Amino acid sequence: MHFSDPIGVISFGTAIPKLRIKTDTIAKAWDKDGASVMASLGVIEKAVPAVDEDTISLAANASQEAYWRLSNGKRDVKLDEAIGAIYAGSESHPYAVKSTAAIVGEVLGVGPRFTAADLEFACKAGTAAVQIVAGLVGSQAIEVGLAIGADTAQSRPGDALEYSAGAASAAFLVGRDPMQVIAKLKYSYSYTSDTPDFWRREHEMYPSHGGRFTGEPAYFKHIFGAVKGLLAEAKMQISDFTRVVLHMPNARFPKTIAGMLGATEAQLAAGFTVTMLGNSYSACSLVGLAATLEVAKPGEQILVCSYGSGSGSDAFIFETTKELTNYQNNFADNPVTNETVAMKIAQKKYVEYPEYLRNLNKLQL
Amino acid sequence: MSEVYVAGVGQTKFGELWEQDLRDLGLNAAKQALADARQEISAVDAILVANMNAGIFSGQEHLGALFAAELRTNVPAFHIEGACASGGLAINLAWTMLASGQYQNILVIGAEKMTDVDGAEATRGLNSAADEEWEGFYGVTFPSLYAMIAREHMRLYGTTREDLAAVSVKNHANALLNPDAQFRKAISVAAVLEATPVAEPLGLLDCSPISDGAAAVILSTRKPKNSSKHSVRILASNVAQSSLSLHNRQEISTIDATITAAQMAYKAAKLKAADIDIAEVHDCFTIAEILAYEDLGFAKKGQGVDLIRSGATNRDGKLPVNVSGGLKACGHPVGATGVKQIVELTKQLQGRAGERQVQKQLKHALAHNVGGSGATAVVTILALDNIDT
Amino acid sequence: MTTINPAKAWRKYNKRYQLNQTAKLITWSKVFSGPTGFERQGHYFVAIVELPSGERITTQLADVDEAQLSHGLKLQATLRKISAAGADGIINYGVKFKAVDSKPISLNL
Repeated sequence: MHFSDPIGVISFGTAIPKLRIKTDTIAKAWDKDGASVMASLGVIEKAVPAVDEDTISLAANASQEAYWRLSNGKRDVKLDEAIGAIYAGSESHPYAVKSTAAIVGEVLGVGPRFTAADLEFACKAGTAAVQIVAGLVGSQAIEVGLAIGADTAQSRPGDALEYSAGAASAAFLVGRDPMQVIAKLKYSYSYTSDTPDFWRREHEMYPSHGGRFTGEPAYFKHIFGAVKGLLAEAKMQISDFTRVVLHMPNARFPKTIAGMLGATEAQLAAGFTVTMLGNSYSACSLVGLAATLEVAKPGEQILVCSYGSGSGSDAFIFETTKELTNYQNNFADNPVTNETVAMKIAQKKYVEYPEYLRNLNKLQL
Repeated sequence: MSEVYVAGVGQTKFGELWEQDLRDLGLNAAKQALADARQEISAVDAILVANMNAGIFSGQEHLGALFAAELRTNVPAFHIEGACASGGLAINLAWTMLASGQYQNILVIGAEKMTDVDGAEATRGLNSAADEEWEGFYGVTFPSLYAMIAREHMRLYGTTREDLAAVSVKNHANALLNPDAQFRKAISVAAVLEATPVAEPLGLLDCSPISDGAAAVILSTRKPKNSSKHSVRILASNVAQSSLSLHNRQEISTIDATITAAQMAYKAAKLKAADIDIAEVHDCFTIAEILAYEDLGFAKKGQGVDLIRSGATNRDGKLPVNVSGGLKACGHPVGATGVKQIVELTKQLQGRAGERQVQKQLKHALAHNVGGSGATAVVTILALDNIDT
Repeated sequence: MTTINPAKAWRKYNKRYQLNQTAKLITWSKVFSGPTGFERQGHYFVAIVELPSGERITTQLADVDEAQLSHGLKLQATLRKISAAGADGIINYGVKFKAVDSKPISLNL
């Protein structure tokens, strides 16, 4: 997909829970060796939602931050009116029926004149939202759209997924005003198939997965396919990119595929959040993109590729504009909007396993 | 304006009374009061029933009708509700009705049955005394509201947890001598400080309990004929309101409704705070008793702790407060408390409080009943008539 | 099982969702036993905070670091779950307040 100039990100925000649990803590609860788990997955600790956090509160807080970074912390009636669509992607929507996106719209105070719906496609529901919103903006059907990825990821106690399933949200406002666009969306390419690597049936609390099947035929094949297709369409090579943000189910997979694609660790660095946050599912690659945009300079090419089990990958090429520096300085000035992803990762408090189980309602109370 | 006398009093035990329901409790107290007044129900020309939560706790409203029917009378009967001040409000209304000359002899029953629901539900019921929409929605509980008051009082005036604990210790010591009290067990300051935390800085022993119980009085414009006791008159009864929510209160650590009601009552009774010989105040939580000392004018603002520290409010002190054991140790069946206070003070004035009888000369007594975190306050002043007055 | 119609909470959404608030902490309490609907949250912090307008409201504190709590602490609003009417009922969201992070800003460009 090619997007006309100048569609792109005009603002973004994130919400990351303050609580963390260490891989070592989880390992001990199951009589496993924390050091070997960490060596294998590369995740040292992950975010844990507080008892009062869920996908909706995370989505709303991230969206509010995106809004305020644009409006300097104030109500902006013009922005309210400009937002014509909200899409929220998650695999842990609190309601099976009742839209997360609609509640976020109510909290932001936009509307009632907007369209909204929730999306699911495992860990790529957030990037799917970005594509939909970019399409509506690009076709000039709307002025500004809000795309959200948010999750409080579920994992069965004792299962390997428990070490990496985290929680966070990232929200992106997409528009077409050249004065506002901080990162132009140039191309997007998706690679989708029916690959049953990881799934969750309706009414089941926890996902199931195919073990090693989640690797080569799933994650690797789809990311590789999407990125190769993207580069071909854009007639670019991996070395053209200052930054590369990949979906991070753990620390090993993205480094491996990066190697296969010819991307370096330096390119991955800014968006590589999994080590201390875990995999926030639908928010994962979008949080990586947010972290990247918080440190990027104008004129950078950024490649983003998500992966959602089931399976599909959405790949994107962004190009930062000169508006980016102003934007970064502006939000840094306001104490209500100045927390970067790096700062949020650093702001933490550890919990033990029982509190973690209670907060994620795994005790089925 | 007619004079109003306390013609008869009655009270059930307070506590977890598994075998009695609301009906049993109210009837029990009512019959005691009628017997004490040497009256038949036919002498009563109105019934006021004070109760806060029968709807939530027992699914029963229409309490005026319920007790009139149980007592086999069809005189006017009313249910009065003002959260924990329900009892005091009923006393106040009965006094007003009598003073107006429209009625001559009113039975006031205060009753509450709290133990048929679980703890969380009891808490929720009590929460309806707060602002349900703007306080209850956020999960406040009554202990937490008074805990916030306590924290402010501690910050502003240096009140300590030990000061609060001393209130609980005193009231428990008093209740040891009260056969109707829920708790008849001495406790120490250390025990209060180490008790299970409920809402910091308040712990389990800073908080009045969940209780069943009832109290009743007959108020009359006719001076009681019984010459073996001096008669007790209501000199004044005043009600004042303040904000429903604690966050809208002018000063978080002051119950201004108490100040207003007390000032009006002293004025009407032509008395000063220093004239009060004995008081039953609203110690729903230990901090509330400290506030009461200040807001009733027994101590200056911020200096309420001096009274508990010096022992002035002990049973043998200059101004005995809560000799019944107060809400903390005697128990707090919500609707009954304000009526029980009148029962207790009447007995004390008339020298018939048994083992816990205060020994010094008593002439003026004050009852203080509060609803919510301070939204409603009722102050009633009683006096003992001397034979030669 | 829900017994109260969601309309009751709905009509207050406007007032309950107003996020653009900073506030000052006035007083608070750590609650160990909540009423129905709050029993399974473990402990939580109720508080009275003062908005810039001078208006005071009752709320809860979020992400609490107990050592930080003091009269006058600067707070900012965050949307959080307040309660839910059972596992099948509507979830009540509202504004809680957390401490404003006092760390200096560093962009590390």
